[in-house]
Order: sequence, then C-alpha cells, then structure tokens
Amino acid sequence: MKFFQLLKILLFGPKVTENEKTIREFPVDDQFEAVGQELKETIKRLYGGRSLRIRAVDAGSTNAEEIEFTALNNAYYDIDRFGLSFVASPRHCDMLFVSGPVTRNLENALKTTYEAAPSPCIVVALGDGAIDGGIWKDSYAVVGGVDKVIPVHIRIPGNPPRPIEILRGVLGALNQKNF
Amino acid sequence: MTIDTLAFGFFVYFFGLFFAGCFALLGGQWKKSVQLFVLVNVIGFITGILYLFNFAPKEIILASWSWLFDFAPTVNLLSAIFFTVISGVSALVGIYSMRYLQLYEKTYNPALTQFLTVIFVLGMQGVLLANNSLAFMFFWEVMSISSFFLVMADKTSQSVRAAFLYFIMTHLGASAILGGFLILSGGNLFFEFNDITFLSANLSPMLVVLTFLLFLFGFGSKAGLVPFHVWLPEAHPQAPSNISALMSGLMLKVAIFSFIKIVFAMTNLPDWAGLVVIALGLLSAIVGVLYAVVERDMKRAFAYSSIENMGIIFTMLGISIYLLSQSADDSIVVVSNIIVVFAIFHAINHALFKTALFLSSGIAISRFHSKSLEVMGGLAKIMPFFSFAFLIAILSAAPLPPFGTFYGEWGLIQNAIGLLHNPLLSSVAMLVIFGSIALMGLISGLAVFAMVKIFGISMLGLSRTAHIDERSEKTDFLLSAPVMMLGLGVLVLGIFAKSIIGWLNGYGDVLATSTSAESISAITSHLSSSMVFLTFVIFLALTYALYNFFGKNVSEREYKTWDCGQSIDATMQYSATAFSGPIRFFFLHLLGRDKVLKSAAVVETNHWIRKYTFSLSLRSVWKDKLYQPIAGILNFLAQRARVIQGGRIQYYLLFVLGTLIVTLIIVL
Repeated sequence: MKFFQLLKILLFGPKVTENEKTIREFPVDDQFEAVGQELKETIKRLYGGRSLRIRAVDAGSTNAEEIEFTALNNAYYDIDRFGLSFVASPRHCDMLFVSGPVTRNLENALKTTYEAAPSPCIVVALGDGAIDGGIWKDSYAVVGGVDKVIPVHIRIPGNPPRPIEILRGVLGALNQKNF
Repeated sequence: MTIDTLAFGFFVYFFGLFFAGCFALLGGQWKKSVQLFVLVNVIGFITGILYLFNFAPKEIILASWSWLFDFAPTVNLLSAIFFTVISGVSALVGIYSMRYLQLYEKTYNPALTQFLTVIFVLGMQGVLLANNSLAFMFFWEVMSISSFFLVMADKTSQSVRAAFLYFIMTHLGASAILGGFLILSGGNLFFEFNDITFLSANLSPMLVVLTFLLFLFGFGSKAGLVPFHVWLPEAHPQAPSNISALMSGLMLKVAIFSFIKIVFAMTNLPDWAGLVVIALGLLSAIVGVLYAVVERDMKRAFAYSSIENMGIIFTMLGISIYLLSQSADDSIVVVSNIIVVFAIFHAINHALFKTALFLSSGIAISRFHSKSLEVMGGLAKIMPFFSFAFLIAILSAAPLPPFGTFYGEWGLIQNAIGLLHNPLLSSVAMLVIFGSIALMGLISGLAVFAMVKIFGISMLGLSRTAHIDERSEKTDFLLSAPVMMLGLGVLVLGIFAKSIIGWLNGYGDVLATSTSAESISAITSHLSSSMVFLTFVIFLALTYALYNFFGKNVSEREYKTWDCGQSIDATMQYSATAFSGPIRFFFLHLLGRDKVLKSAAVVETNHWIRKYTFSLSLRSVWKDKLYQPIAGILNFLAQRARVIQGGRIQYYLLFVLGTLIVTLIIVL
C-alpha cells in the first residue's frame, strides 16, 4: 500500500532537516549586523516606519552585481528585517540600484525608469561599470557611467561590491543631506 | 389648444416632408432639403409633444378622405408616442446628415440619398397614422422600398447583395402581413384597424392561429427576430451611417408598434401564442448579444445589438400575451399591461441610443476609413467631445443606471419576480417566467461585455492604423452634437423614468388595447429613478470634493504609462478578437467559426524556421443550416420548372388558356 509506505517514510524515515544545534551555533557577522541596525534606525527616522523600497535596474552589467545584491535577500543576510525591500516597479521605489555600464540599447530604458519613479528618488551606481564604464569604458557600445544618463547620488565601487559594502553605501546615501 | 391646431401641425409635417423630398429630387438642392427636413421634424416633434400633453389618450381622426380609399389619418396614444420619437430622432439625424453627406459627397449621391431618406421617414410616419389595412400596407411598402434603395446607396457589389437579401426578406414579411390582413377580414382589403378585435372574434381558431403566425413572421422579420434576422446584420451596416441609424433606431420600432397595434388587438389567441413570442424573443436576444460580442465589424456589432434589444422587447410583449392567456384576473391583467408599457419605454430608449450608436459608428468610420474594430483605437485623444458623447450612448446601451434603458429592463425583471408570488399562475407559467428572468440576466451581462469591447477597442489606447484622419474635432461638430443630444435624451428619460412610466401606466389599458377595468397598484418601479440619478451626482461631487480637499498638498507629476523601458505601440494592445475570446470559447457550438492556422517553411531546406498565418472568420450558423438548404430547394425547383419553359410564344399562350380553364373549374 502506497499510503502506508508514505506513512512509514514520514514517521520512521531518515531526518532530512538540519540539526537544531548547528543552526544555533552558526557564526554571526557582527559587522554586518551593526551596519544593518544603524540602517534600520536611519530608515525608521527618515521614512516614518515604512521600509525603503529599491528598484534594481540592470543597465548592461555582467550580472556580478546582481548576484551580490540578490544575496542581500537570502536567508543569511535577510535585509528585509532592516526595512529594505526590492520592488518590481519604479512606480513604487525610493531608490534605484543601477548596475553595469549603460549600453546604448538600455540608455532609453534607464532614462524612462528614472522618469517613471516618484521623486525624490535616490540613484545608486552599483559597481565599477556603473561608476565610469569600468573595463568597457570608451567602448562604442556603451554610453559610459550612469551619471551620463541620469543624476547619480552615491557610487559604490567594487567589481562587484560585497553585500556589506552595498549596505554601507545605502547608509551613506541616506545620511547625505541633499538629493 | 384645439384639435384643429394639432391637425394643422400634422399636415404641416407631412407637406413639409413632401416639399423637402421635392427640393432634393427636382431641385437637386440637398442642403436646403436637409435644412427643411430638420425644421419639419422639429415641428413634428412639437406636435407630438402637444398631443401627449393635451389630448392623450384620446384617439383623434385628423381628416377623412373617403375618395382616397377611406384613408383617415388617425392618431392615438401609441402612435403619438412613436410619432414623437421618430420625428425627434429624425431631426437630429438630419443635423448629422448636413455634415455627413458633405463628407461622403463622392461616395453617395447626396440629393438622391436625401430624397430617399425623406420618403423613408414619410413611410414610417404614415404607417403610424394608417387607419386601415390598405393605407398601412402602402406606407409599409414605401418604407421598405425606399430603405432598400438606401441600403445600396454606395453601389458596391456587397451593398447590392445585402440590399437584395433585405428586399427578399422584407417582401416575404410584407406578403405575410398582407395575407394576415386578408384572412382576418375575409378577403376585404379596406378594413379599419378598430375592427380587428371584432373580426378576430368571429374567426375559427385555426385561422386565428394562422393569422397570428403570419403577423409574427411579418413583423418579426422586419424587427429582425431570429431566425428571420439574416438580412439585418447584412443590410444595416451597408447603408450610409445616418440611414443605418434610421433603420436600426426607427424602422425596427415601427415593426414593434405594428405588432402591438395589431396582435394585441386580436382575441381568441391560443395559449401557446405568448410562449412562441417569448421563445423567439429570448432566442433573438441571446443570439444577438453573442454575435454582438464576437463581431469585429463595428456596424455589424451594433446591428446584432439591435437584434438583441428587439428580442428583449418581444420577450416583454410575449410575457404580456402569455399572462393574458393565463388568467383574466385583475392582478394579472394589470401586470400584463405594465409590461407592455415597459416594452414601449424600452423601445423609445432603444430608438435614441441605437441611433446615437450608429451615428457614432459613422464618425469613427469617417476617421479610420474602415468598419473593422481591429484597425480602430485612440480616437478619444483626437475627439474628446465625441468620445464622451459616445461613452454616454454606450453606457445607455449597456444598460446601466441612471440611463433610461436600465429602467425598461429592470421593470420587466421586477414585475416578473413579483409574479412569482402570484397564486393564480400555474407552475408551468412560473417556470416560463423564471426562465425568462434568468436568461435576461445572462443577456444583460453579455450586453455590457459587448459595449465595453466596442468602446474600449475603438476609442481608447493607440490607433491601430496609420490612415487615421487627425483633423480637428471642431469641423465635425455637426456630427458629434446629435450623438450628445441623443445620449442626454436617454439620460433624461432615465431621470424621469418613474414618472414617465407611471404616466404611461395610467393609460396602460389603452396602450395594450386590452379590456381591463381599472389599473390598480402595479409595480411601476420601486426604484425612484430621479433619486438614483441624484445619488450618482452626489457621489461624483463628493469624490471630486474629497479629491480636491485631500489632494491639495500633494505634489503631482504627470507621466506617461510605465512601459517597462520599451516604448508602447499599438500591437501590444488588447485586440477585439482577443477580448471576445472567452465568450467565443464558451458558446462555440452556438456561434460557429472557422479557425485556420497555416504553417510553411520560410526556406525550403530548413524546416525549423516556419512562418505561421492565422485567420479567424465568423460564419452565421443560421445562414448555413437554415437558409442555404431552403435556397438549395428553391434552386432545384427552379431547375425543374425550366422544363416547361420552351421559350416559344405558343406554349405560353397555351399555359394562359390552361390556367384560365383551371381557374374557371375551381370557381364555378
């Protein structure tokens, strides 16, 4: 009987979940937690309790930056607890993450995304490519840094920047006085 | 206010129409003719209103000409209502024609078209005032033949085909009506309509049934009842748009008027007569609304919507006949009368909004140069005033409150639900009424679907064609203004629906020509229509006030639709075919369609890269299953009959002699 086989596996089969102890004793990145806590307080102060919404725009990157800031969402970093969230439309965002040198094909898309976002919108140039074109600088296919298309408020260098550096950059952007 | 003044108004009306026709035909001055046509129709409208306010519900004989086959133009409450509506709507259509005929000066012959239009309206009004069967048939034919020529006004082969189909169907109908008259009067062609009750009481039941069926076919085919409807979606769209409006908005009402006037006067109708009318009405309503949903030709969709509304009106009339045959109790008779009142109210509304819709389709077609919804779109940006007027017409066709159309259908449903409590009705009658209510729900829902589709696809979004005419709206003000006025007319009827229906219901027994004693409390409408309108107004004002109050300190920035980074073009929009996809899927067996998907390799050597072509065509199940076989049989018989057609004159003389002998044998 399939049903009893299933019950047998469920009740007496091997355990497939992690041991509780190993999870409890997982090392915590204290530096990251500290930045996160500070960010949490800053966002609470600036946005009155709601979270900071981020829209990521890939303007022609190698996806290295994407992997890093996607890591922010995973179970280890879990930035949602600090009050940051990624949204699916520029209509909902407070902050734009732009990665990669702006290719000519995506120049218009980046511009319309910025125009569609409600102001004030903080623009973060993520990675060396976004800052000045990186290794594609002066190529015929790219426009150059993000600041050639839309105004940039903060630049996070690195190729790609580590998640903690991204968070530090966001914190720095929020602590700026003028946008 | 005397009867003489009233009669004078009617005579001015008819002579004015006559002169307008002469102007157009003899003088060739179609512009003056149209102006006179508008003026005369305004006079007719005022005369009609005067009658309704001062003389209703008296029957007034305007004149009596014994030398002219006993023709005595007679006006009563029922004909006055339709007279007023027809002249009012014709006046607005006349205003529209001024600009429309100018736009299409090359396609249609304006002078001839205008002449035929005048004759057409004259025919319709004549039918309303006819007092005996001969006058009725005369004007009926004037109406039919002038509209036949109007259908083929642009002289394309498609129009001529449609016109001949219309010609055949309308003459089958006319001969059926004539046959009905002859049976009813026992061969006398000049009988007064007042005698119908008396005449039908003396007929044998078999003949009454036959007469009833002939009338049902005759008026039903004119009104476009399924399955006699095939001509309607062919002929109405082929005519010039102002003529389509007259045909759909007014000519169908003449069929309704005649049906009420003649069939409701007959007595001794069998019990199932009402059931037949209900069945045909519901069938037309469902088939009409389904085709209106899936149809991609704008004018054809409106033509199908006409079939739907005719179906609804005939359902109402059928329920009324059916109730009268069930019981002669006062409570039933009163409800039966009020349902006729609702049918008339719905007919008036339909006359207004369907005219507005066809006029709108004319405007849209003049801009897009095509009737297909698939190339339309985006007209609201070029013609904001027109699209607002069109929106009002569409909403009233939907039908939604606070427009008059809503109260007509609502009244039927409310009264029908009220009847379900009545202990006098048998369980079969309950079942019939219950089924009608359920189907009316389905029909109304689908009607909303159809109207949303037509408006959304044609007016909103971006234009799907590069051939759109982008000239300013101001030059076409004469086109949009009548649409607006008709739409507002339906709105006004909606605001005063309760009082109008209440007033008409006071004469319910006169309208339905049944012999009820006193009209006690029937449900005119529990909804106070003016309160409904007021609620709408208050909600709109409140929303606006709140928006302004709370939005005062919010900074706004207008920006185009978020396009995900790539610019939006017309191919991304919902198309008319896709929009009606779900309905086409659900009612696949009722609608019938040919879907062809062809694929061919782009390069012979590579079979992986293929080019796909998809085509979807709707076909009429009725035409395939009902009309083609009949046409086939007729063709077969004609082939057989050719055997005796020798072509020599001697044979034909022999046939004449033979016929004479046979006739003499039968007679003697």
